[in-house]
Amino acid sequence: MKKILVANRGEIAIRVMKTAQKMGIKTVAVYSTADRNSPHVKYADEAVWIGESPSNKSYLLGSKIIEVAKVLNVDAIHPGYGFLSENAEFADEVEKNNIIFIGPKPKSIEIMGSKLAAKEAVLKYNIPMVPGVDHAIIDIEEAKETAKLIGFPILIKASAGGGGKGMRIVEKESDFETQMNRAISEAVAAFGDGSVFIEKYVASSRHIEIQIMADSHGNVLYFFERECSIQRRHQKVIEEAPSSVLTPEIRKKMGEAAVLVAKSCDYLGAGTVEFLYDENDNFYFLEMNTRLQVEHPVSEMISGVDLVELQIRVARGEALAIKQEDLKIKGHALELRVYAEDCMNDFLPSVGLLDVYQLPTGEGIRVDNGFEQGMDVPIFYDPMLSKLITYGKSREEAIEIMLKAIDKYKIEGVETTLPFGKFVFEHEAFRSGKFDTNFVKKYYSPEVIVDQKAKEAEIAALIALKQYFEDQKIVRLPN
Amino acid sequence: MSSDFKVKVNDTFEFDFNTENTSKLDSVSVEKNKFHILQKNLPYKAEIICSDFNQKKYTVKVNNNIYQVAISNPLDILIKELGFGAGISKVIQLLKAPMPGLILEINVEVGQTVKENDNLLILTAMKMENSLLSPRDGVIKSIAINVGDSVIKGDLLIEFE
Amino acid sequence: MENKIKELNDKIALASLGGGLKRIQKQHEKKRLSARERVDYLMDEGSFEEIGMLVTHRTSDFGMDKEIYYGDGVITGYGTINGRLVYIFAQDFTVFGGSLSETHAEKICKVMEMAVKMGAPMIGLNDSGGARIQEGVRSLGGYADIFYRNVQASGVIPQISAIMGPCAGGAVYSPAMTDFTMMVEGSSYMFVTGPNVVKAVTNETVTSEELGGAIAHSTKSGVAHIVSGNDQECLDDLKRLLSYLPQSNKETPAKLPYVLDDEIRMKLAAVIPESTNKPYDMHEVISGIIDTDSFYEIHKNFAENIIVGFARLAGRSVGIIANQPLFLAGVLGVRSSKKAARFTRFCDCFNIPLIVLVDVPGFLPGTDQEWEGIIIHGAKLLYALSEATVPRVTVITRKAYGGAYDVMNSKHIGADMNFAWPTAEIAVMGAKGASEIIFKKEISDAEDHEAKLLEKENEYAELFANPYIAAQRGFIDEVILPQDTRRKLIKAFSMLENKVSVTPNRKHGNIPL
Repeated sequence: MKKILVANRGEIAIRVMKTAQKMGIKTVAVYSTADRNSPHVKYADEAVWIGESPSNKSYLLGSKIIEVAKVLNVDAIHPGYGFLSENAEFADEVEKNNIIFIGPKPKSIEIMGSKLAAKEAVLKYNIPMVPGVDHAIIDIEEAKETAKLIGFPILIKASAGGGGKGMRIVEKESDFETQMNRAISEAVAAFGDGSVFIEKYVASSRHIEIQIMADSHGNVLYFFERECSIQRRHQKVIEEAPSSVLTPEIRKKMGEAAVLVAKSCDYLGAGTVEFLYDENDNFYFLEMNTRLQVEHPVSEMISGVDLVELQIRVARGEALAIKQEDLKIKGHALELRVYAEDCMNDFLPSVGLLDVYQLPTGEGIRVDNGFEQGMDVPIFYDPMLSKLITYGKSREEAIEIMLKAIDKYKIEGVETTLPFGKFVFEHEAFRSGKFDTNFVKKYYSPEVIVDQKAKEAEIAALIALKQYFEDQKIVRLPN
Repeated sequence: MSSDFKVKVNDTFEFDFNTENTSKLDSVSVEKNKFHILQKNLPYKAEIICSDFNQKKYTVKVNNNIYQVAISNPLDILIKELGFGAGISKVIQLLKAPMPGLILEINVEVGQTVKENDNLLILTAMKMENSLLSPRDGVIKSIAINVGDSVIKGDLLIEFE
Repeated sequence: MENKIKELNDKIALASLGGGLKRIQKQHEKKRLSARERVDYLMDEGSFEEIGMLVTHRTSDFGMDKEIYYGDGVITGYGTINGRLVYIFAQDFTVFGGSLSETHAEKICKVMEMAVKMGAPMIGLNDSGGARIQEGVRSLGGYADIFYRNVQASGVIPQISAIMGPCAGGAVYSPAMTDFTMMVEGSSYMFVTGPNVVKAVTNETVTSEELGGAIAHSTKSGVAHIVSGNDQECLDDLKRLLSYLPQSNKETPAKLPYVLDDEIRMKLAAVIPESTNKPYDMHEVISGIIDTDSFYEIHKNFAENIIVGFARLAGRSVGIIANQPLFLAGVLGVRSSKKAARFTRFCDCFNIPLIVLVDVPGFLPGTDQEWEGIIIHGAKLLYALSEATVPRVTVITRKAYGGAYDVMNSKHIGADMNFAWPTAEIAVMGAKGASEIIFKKEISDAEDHEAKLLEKENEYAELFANPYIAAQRGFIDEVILPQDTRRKLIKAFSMLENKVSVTPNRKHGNIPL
């Protein structure tokens, strides 16, 4: 494999290209009009413009990307996450054009892409699942009845959804219809597929997922778990590895279950099996993400592997050289997703120019970054600026390093989730490990951060006023 | 006239201070324009980044966060009280875009009566659909945008009677 | 020593209160700022140095020696506005109604003299009931002292008067002789004789506001150049006005930084309507020529058929005179001529170059114009422009007929550069009028008078309603595209920056007043 095209942008494009470079493979970047000056374009060996700024006119144009790949004699395409990474048709087209798709086979994507099909495939392996409906809802009245049977609160999920999108909690029957309509409309807009299904909403749960890697020689390994329970609006903001609650026995059970899930769809490459973990230490299969995930770095840190490298090796047809028994957890890793969002204004996107953007550096700090000082944060794409990852010998150490890193991370021009991250990592519930997916709802309100800001604002006001009084004393002459 | 000053920070926080407050502040000048402050036993690092004496505006960094400070002296406060400013602010008249995005749906018409929390329009941004709910009961006076329009944060969307 | 210091501080505290807190409150209730508050607001933070805070009056007639106020009803001194030295007097209505006494006038004269010596603008905030009756002739003398110094300073330093309260009787002559008079809507008025006397003598019933309020003086008499909504706005407007003016006649106004671009303004290409008889707003042409948002109009609501005001061209302060086709087709009349003439002379005093935009079909006909003396007043503008030695550049956008062509800064009266748009019509009169005269016989001989007239009219328009005959003679230096106007003007004024013009040695000319 001599040349890889990365069909993505931002930090993940750079992340993949870094490993490719390490392995001596040439890289091709693709970019839209808005991304002309993005770091990933400058990082690659070759770069090609593929369309106008909106995603559907650039990064989602599979055919255009394949065209570019053919012209440049690319050997393989890495889709990153999001965009076309879980698009079975795209994967199929890529292979049909004799280019290697660094990821699972189209069929696996298809099966696991539909939550309903996934559940069906997994059924024969006796893997525990959440009570719910196994088919897509068409009739709202019927759905309402089913919801009443399962018992409120229920969760409406888009079958084609993922990454936390296309999910809505319905607390009571009266909200059901509006929420259902909204969910279907959102699903159609985001995924092109309006089919939704419902399942019981487990109120107090943790979101724990297992990283797996499968090669073409029948080997499937699991690289331990990631704890992703700190979410807002069902999207992950903070992840860690390993989870602070799993015992080695449960870890083994979940790992092996994950391997079975991968086998059930004839999986190839990197993937993540998501589980719901309730307060009674039971775990339920949720879904499988047939791609490399945003939070993969934390798994890399504790297991000492480069997952992208393994992806490329597997895609090349190599057998995985490691054995499951050789894999050991070492240390603890944390990740904070740095989004350009205003955590004091309901996490609404904060658009602007990065007047100041300086990354923290130091022992145990890794930043997977996609932006530079002076760049505009475009409105067309996900508002993630970077991932701030820290690693320590213990969970406590990792948290301390993270807090220092947050302070050293200088961003001005947009609001970010850094203050939110600070709040979480300083919070007793997080530090003790006693939290679930309700953490944000339970403990976080903008007032907490406003409070801190208020104290600082008071200091700013006093210092300014003091300086003003000093300035008044200085003699001023006409110019 | 009292010697009370109104100090506004980032247009969000407002304080009433006088010379007593500033003299009580426990601050030590570390370098030119850099200070170490102790308030309620907690330490703060402050730095004056920018100062415009004539406009009475200062930019201060406290513990890595930037704050824009605007000082009003007693005369400014008096002028404000005299009410030279045009127009008395009424109940929420204008609905502005809380963030940039695309107008997906407009659910009301000019002249329509709406109740608080009615769904007025849908704004999509960064792959999320956001319903903008009415902040009050009222009648729609005008709608400044059309379906498919792209808006930036602060753009006027709907005006109430 | 401490007692002495206390004594001083007590006096200062007393002086700062003027007529007392109660009276200041009353001002506030009427939505007016006190004199001290006005000065504080106007001047740069901490820059004001008061002169004569402890002056008191010397009258003992009518028991006046029992009522003494420090400052005697006027605050005088110097300070900076946006960093520039200015001198100011602000009358204090809370002390004896701001009335003028011998000592009050002395204070004002003192700062006026300093302003002239130091070469800095003189600002007067008028808020006074008039002469202090108890002082008798002494106050009249005080007024005259001020008037004399107004004249000595005229054309040496800019003098701006802001009427922020009453200004009646003889007092009005000082603002009248200053360069600009500003008034505050609803709370200021000026007249020589007030409503009471008017009623007694002529039996006319009229209110102060109607007789001499801001609206009356900005629309009817032209005494007020600028009208502001309230005290704060008035002071803001004053600051803004100052920014266009130099410190004295020895300097040119300060230039703002400006980065040059291609300076093409395509919107000007569409301003002139197809039909020569359709009006357009000359303000649009102005905004297409000057720096964004830099226009400061003077006499906005007076003689609206001509526009005058200050603006910036690539950061340089300029004066603009422009006919306004929207009003009375942009003709010149008695009031518009006077308005433009005085503005021209002010700019000439203070080294402010002039841009003259021309679209004038002639002078306004009519008995009231003729009997008002349009002959003399039209000549005023002609004289003022001819006399001005500052760089002056003309742009003829459309009509320039007859004598008005000569008057509106034609080449012959010393304009430095004369431009014309392709839509310019430089002719002795409009096509219709000219044809009626020249082809009189042909038209009366013809069968269809109307049609012949139209035919001849078109012939004439073809031949003469254009800028080319004038251009052929060099009366127009260049015919330019509208969108290039700004570019051309910037280059022209840059070239003209160091213009030196020699005037004949004489005491002064005899402009038809």
